[in-house]
Amino acid sequence: MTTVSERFFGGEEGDYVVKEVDRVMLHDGNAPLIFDDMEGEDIWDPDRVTSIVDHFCPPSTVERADFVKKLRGFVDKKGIKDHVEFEGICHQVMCEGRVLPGEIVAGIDSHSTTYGALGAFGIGFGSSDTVEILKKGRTWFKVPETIRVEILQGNNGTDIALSMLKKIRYDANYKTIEFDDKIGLSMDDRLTVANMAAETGAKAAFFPPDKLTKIYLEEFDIKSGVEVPLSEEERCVKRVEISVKEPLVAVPHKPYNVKPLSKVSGKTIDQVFIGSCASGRLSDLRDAVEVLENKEVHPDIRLLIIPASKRIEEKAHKEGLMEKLVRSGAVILNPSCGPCPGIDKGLLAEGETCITTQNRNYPGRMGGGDVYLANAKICALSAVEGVIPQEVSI
Amino acid sequence: MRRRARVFGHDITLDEIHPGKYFSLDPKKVIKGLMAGIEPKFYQTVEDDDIIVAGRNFGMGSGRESGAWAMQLAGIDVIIAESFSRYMFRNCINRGIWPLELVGIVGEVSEKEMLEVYLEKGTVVLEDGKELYFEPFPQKMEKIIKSNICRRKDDVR
Repeated sequence: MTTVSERFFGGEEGDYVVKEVDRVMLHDGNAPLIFDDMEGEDIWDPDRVTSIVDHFCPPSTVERADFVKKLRGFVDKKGIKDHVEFEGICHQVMCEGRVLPGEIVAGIDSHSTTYGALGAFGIGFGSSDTVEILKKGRTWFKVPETIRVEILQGNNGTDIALSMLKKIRYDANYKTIEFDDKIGLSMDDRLTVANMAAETGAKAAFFPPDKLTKIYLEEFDIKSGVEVPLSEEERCVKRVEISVKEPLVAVPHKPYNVKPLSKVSGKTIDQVFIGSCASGRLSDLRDAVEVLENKEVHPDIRLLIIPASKRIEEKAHKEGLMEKLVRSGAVILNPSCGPCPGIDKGLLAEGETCITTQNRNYPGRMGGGDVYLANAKICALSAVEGVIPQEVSI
Repeated sequence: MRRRARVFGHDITLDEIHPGKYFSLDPKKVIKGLMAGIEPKFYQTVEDDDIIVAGRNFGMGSGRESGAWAMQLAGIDVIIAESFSRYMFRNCINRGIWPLELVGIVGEVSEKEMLEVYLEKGTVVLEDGKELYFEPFPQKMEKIIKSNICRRKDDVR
């Protein structure tokens, strides 16, 4: 039997194939590198391209304001109609009615694996590859091997993702991860897990589209009956079981340096950030409110919260979440990447420490300082206590 | 080709190879970010025949092509690593840089050691004459890399 990857790419494992893509995602953080190469070139199908401003949103330097200005000029000139600003982080925006199950989506960003939450193959590319894809609508792929990840226990997408990282480390490089979701995760959790699968090096991360996918897409007036079963177990090069029994924290400077919360509790911190394409969804904001309600952020801590999209922000307002967060002392920033890639609002000084729901804690990721990764409840409680807490219910 | 090795360890991330704050369209700014997450001002020490030697998972994390661009700007035309992230691998090919996979290279080569690299044969000869072997590129890929070497010759050093 063919694997899911073989079905998507139309070749056998290990083959080099040329394959059409269904959609392309551009963002202001990487798109500037393609402008010169696209000079005088037409896009194969501008209606299949989405352009999103989220890294420099709004821009904090004149140089970045110029990137965004140039991106606006680029989409105008090339006939790309789907250009959005202030709508949210690219991957969340793509998963709000743009990506469909069964599609191959080329994103100019390494966290494009997120689209696997919807049963699509989201694959990240650098700028030169993206130029070729924009011109021809296709590119070369090596058909990847498959790792099966069985999710057996866990209440929270971030903890499931950290547990997966602890087990796989970076050993899914060039491979596809397929998730066998035995516990019926929410779409918010699937998005987090598929997003953080990027830290294993995986080319794509894939949840087979099911009833949950169908219900989720109906919110965006999309009717999808696409079904793609998992690859057979004997075709998988590795099988990994995930059972989360305690809250987890990734310590500097790799996302797979994962320890139980109890091993890092008491660590003093300076900043807490709840947001990024790995998080900042309604369930994360609800978790934060559950911890913060009727409490105050510690006077020595800055708590920054970024809803992943405008749609999520509006829902959170309606539910009264935002008011509660602000009252407890959180600073709410507009939907955007924020401090995560080390380029925008909320960077750390040398020697400072941040605990965050984002996906990366590499050296220099958030400017200076050290970054710890954890779920929204741990992050929120850290903001109250001023240190990484002893325990938190999951 | 005769090249001088600049040696780095395992699991070097793109955020170290090219920190986000150096993202720019100005080649003079981009080159300053080269390996700046590990050794600030590394770019000033790069000589014409320098190449990068590294361990496992070189370029893990972000897919920002500014890392490969900075290497291209510095004149680095070969990276020998035990393995590459798929982003770094593809970005190198697209920038005309040879990404050579050679397991065990890190323990064998010392900083600034002179190496002879034979791309077609798939051999690296160390100063003491020891030979190491890598899988040469299939002709098809070789052609792609060579055609990319001609692209973008911004010389900012």
